[in-house]
Amino acid sequence: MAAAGYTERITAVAERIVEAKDQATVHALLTEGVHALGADNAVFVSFIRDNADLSACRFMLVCEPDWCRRYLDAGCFAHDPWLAYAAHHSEPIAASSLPVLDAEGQRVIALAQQNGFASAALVPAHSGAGHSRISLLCLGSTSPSFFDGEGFGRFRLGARLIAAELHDWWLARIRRELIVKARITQADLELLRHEHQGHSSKRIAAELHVSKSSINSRFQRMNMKLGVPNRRLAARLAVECGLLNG
Amino acid sequence: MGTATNRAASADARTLSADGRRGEVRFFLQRVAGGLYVEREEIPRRGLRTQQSVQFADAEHFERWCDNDPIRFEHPLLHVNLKRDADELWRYIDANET
Repeated sequence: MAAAGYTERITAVAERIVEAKDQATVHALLTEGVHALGADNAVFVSFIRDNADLSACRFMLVCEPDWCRRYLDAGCFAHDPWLAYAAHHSEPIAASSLPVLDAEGQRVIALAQQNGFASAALVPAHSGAGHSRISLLCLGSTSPSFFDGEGFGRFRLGARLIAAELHDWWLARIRRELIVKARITQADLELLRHEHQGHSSKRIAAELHVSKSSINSRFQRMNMKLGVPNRRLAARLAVECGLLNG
Repeated sequence: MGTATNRAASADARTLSADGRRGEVRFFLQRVAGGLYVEREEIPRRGLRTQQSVQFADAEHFERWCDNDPIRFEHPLLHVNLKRDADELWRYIDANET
């Protein structure tokens, strides 16, 4: 399954992901990692799941990009059994071990199989900060049964390392973007911390020695900066991105 | 149809976008070792926000991908600008490789 010395190569790739300054560099490292793992193709998907719906999805494609267009055009994300697996599990598995009974799910898998994922391994990545931001490294091979062999146990460690580092890189990037683009200040974080602890405007106002209407106005401005409709979601976003401890 | 803009240009990278009835589409192109790195982001007014990133090793593959993109009909000016900017970056890549 994996080439000799692959552990060293995977570790080297993972270490460089942490230090990567931009997404193009991370993309190149993902490509290097995929080849070091012995796979032909890969997709790294990072998504936000609000209840049953996805609200944002980022794909890093080391495969035929037209697959992704067809996938999105057909609304496959709503029925994707591999994403559903990643949303509720953290254990890497061979995709063939996942029973998919519904027709829509089978169509999603057939599309992947036709585009370089004849055999696939699913490697979810979760963070302790929140439960709705999830990533999935999906590795593919054009050889059927490639990921079903006995070597999967050793392979999965390397794949897990790459997936975890990619997931952490995304979180760090989003955190940086929030701080820089939304200009989140220490005072904003203090407000979000109160909200996260369930404090009312009245209580926050008393603790900060300002009026209740001033607190409400500050929350409104911050919600606009963060692009969320209310303060509850603002605090949740801050937790998801690691700005606040969950 | 909406409006298309080239928001940033450098020898290494280009950023383009178009705003329409259904939302915004953004592209980021960057020449990298081994080809052209592309990000395509779609921000609909409602629904799933998506971003795809991919690296192309050759201009023909990028052209095919580009011509299959719905922006060809929804944002024709963006489509033309995207191909023109990519051509410039490919020329730079080819010149540096030879």
